[in-house]
Amino acid sequence: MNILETKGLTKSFGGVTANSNLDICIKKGSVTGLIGPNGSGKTTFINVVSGVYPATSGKVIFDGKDITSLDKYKIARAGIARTFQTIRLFERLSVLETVLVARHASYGASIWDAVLSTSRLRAANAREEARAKELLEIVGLGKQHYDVLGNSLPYGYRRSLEIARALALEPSLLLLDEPAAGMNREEFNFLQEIIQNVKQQGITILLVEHTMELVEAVVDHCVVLNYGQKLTEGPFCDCESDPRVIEAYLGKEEAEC
Amino acid sequence: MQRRKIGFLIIALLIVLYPLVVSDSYKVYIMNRSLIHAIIAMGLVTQVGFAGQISLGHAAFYGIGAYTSSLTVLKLGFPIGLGFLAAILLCVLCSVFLSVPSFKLSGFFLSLTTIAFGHIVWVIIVNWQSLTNGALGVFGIPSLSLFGTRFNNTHYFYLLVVTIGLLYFFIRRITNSFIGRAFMAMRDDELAAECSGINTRYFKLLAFGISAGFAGLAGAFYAHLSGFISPESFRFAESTKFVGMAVTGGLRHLLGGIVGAPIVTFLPEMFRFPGWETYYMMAATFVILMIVVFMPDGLAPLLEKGFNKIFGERSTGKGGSSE
Amino acid sequence: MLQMVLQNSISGMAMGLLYGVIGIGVCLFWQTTGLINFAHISSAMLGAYFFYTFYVMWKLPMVISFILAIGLVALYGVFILRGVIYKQIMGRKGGRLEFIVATMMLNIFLLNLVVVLWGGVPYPFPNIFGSPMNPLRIGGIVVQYHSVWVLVFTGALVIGLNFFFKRTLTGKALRATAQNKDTASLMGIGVEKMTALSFALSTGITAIAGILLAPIYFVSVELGGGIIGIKGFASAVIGGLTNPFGALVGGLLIGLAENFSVFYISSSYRDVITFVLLVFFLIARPQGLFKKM
Ligand SMILES: Nc1ncnc2c1ncn2[C@@H]1O[C@H](COP(=O)(O)OP(=O)(O)OP(=O)(O)O)[C@@H](O)[C@H]1O
Ligand SMILES: [Mg+2]
Repeated sequence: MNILETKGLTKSFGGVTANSNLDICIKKGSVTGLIGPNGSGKTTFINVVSGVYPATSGKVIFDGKDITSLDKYKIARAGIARTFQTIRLFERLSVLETVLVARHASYGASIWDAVLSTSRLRAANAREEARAKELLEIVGLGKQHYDVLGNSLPYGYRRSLEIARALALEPSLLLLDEPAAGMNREEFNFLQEIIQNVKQQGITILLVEHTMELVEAVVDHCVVLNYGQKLTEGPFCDCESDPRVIEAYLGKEEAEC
Repeated sequence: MQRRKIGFLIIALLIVLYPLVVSDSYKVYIMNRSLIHAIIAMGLVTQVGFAGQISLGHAAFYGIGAYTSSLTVLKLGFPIGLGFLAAILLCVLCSVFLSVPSFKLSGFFLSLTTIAFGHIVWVIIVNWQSLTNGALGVFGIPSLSLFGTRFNNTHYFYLLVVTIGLLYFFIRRITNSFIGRAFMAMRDDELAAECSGINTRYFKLLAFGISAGFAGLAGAFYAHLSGFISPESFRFAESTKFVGMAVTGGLRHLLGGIVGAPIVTFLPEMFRFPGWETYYMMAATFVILMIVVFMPDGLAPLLEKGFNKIFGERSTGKGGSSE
Repeated sequence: MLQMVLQNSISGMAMGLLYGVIGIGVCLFWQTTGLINFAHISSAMLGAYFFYTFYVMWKLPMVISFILAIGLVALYGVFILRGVIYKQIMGRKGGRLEFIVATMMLNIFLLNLVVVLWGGVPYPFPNIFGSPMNPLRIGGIVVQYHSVWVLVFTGALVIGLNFFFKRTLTGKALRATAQNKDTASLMGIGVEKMTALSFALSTGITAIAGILLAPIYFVSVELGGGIIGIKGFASAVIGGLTNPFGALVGGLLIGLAENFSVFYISSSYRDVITFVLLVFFLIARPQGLFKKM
């Protein structure tokens, strides 16, 4: 059963077609890798699926429902959470508050509950804070981090915080955009654990990543993009040895030299 | 904790004694004007400081509030209480128009739209003579009264202090709650907030609505306090002054508006040394400019720090201030 | 009828060109800083006051007064606006909001400063751009000499700027900086210097507009506190903010719309036209009419 399906998904920026006619299916409960050389359209795919960019044409079907032109916040609440390739935390919010932002919809309280500080609000506060702390624990952030600003964390922790914020939406699909970028060895190993852990909770993951070691270790299925088009898909080992894939990466590298 | 209570008590006492000690009724009137401006500045702290939605057109809401209340009272013969209510409601309603551009625009472009809004409202006030009496203004606006006694400046002072206390309580509860967190998330990174499930349109409407309602209330107060209103009080320069007050006090501090408004109002008075009559406005605006440029957090955090130093830190929670 | 239309077009265009010149200043500032200076219009006010001081009070020759006035305003732009305010706020990574508020307060301070230095009473401007009593008549159409002068100055400015941007090394470097600061600095362009230059150009050009506006508004604080500044912003936004010459077209549009609205609707709603145009463009066409230069 597929949790996400795109049909002929196309996104162009003026002359550049960043995603071209993509048919991508993501199996429920799987970890799917989305790889490809720089500029091949991976981030754009995540942006279109999460509603950040409107699709030029084509459809995004999530859980059987067409979500193509839905608002970002509705897509998020429907169960698609994401992280960002360039970290986007809230400048002046603490670690705990950052996660609580994404718990907003679960408060089940109104502005009047806030003004009157009703018992409903206090219960929700306690409940959501507890949940946020659980999530922080999952990504390896402890008590000592709760009250510091998100942006003052070391780089790897900031990425983890983004994952915790995404998980706070209780998503069924998690889109990770290069989560390992800039991580040191230790953080990298822990990230691998986090991903396994999340997967075990039944959350489907789409992983965009350049670090093949991580892709190899965690993905069940792999989709390769090149110039916005789907080059091939299949198990990682097949993709890795596919001459077209090698050429796409090497061609890119040669051009860079 | 006990020491802090003493501190609050001293501040409360100073406030209660103010109109009694300052026997000059005109000074109390000016203080009342500054408290009215504090209401607007508090709204701006919520909207600009917490929700990140700039407005340089708040004189418009101030004006709409003032005219709505005086005209419902004068032309329709409604009681003043209903005038206040109408002022607030109409301002909240108008804020919807202003927040629609904010769905699409931010920063400079939003500020330009709010300036345009302010000017358009001003031009309407000046030119809709049959309703507003144009540039001449509206005279004979009745003062508030209770049990047959008309309010004098001292009464207004206490009423304003209580009102500000309640409004402070209101925005404190909101900004310290999950709603305030959504405001701040939206302010810091709108895209990330939306991808975290925050409906930013709703929160923009809410932020604009709260601060417009505050400004409308302030306008109604002003109309009934002074008894006379004219378009002059609602020019663009006033809008800048309100923002200046919020920033001087501290745009991201709950007390920013309450601290900023009296300071900006009374600063020129402090420079009125003999022989300085020509310079005092320039000196005052220079000081405000320096505060804005060199102390981006404003004066409220400083005052809070000073208070904590004298009367001890708050034992739990963070960044709080007097209840 | 046709005469009236022509006459209105001409006076509208003259006014519009002046808004446009202010808009050029806005664009030049935006291109290198990505910011809008809310004290922008005070450069026009300062320009007019300086010129008045040199020419009328000190009786210096006109050309010298003109150059001195513009130069002084440019110096203010480089050393006060950039040297103090811009640097301070950027130095602590302050956001747009801080810059908006700071420049707004700067504007208020400058208004008060002018009142202290020159008094609050408007000075009538000498008729150096021709007397309004003695206009040019071309076949029944009345054209103010002032309008002709505006056209001359704007034309010279456009030609000069065009030459500067397209032909001189400094101009090209400035354009490269506006495109991308990092690339420019890799190319060995002194980004700091270029920013300073753009501040000087932005404030200096606005000062020219101020001197040309003085015959209409007098030498008064009205020049720096009124809504002329907003009209300059509006011209720039309509023109696309990244194209200085687009601002002239934006200004023309506003000037004409204003003049004809006075003619056909009512003078009391004259300024509303600008704001309606501004909001319309911001919402419906935020990229403006013209592409990046
Ligand atoms: N907002 C945008 N406007 C214009 N072009 C864009 C935009 N976003 C992406 N592109 C273009 O679309 C193409 C795909 O970019 P994308 O960021 O999706 O690549 P990517 O696969 O994520 O690359 P990387 O591995 O470097 O992150 C690129 O050519 C890029 O320049
Ligand atoms: Mg990418």
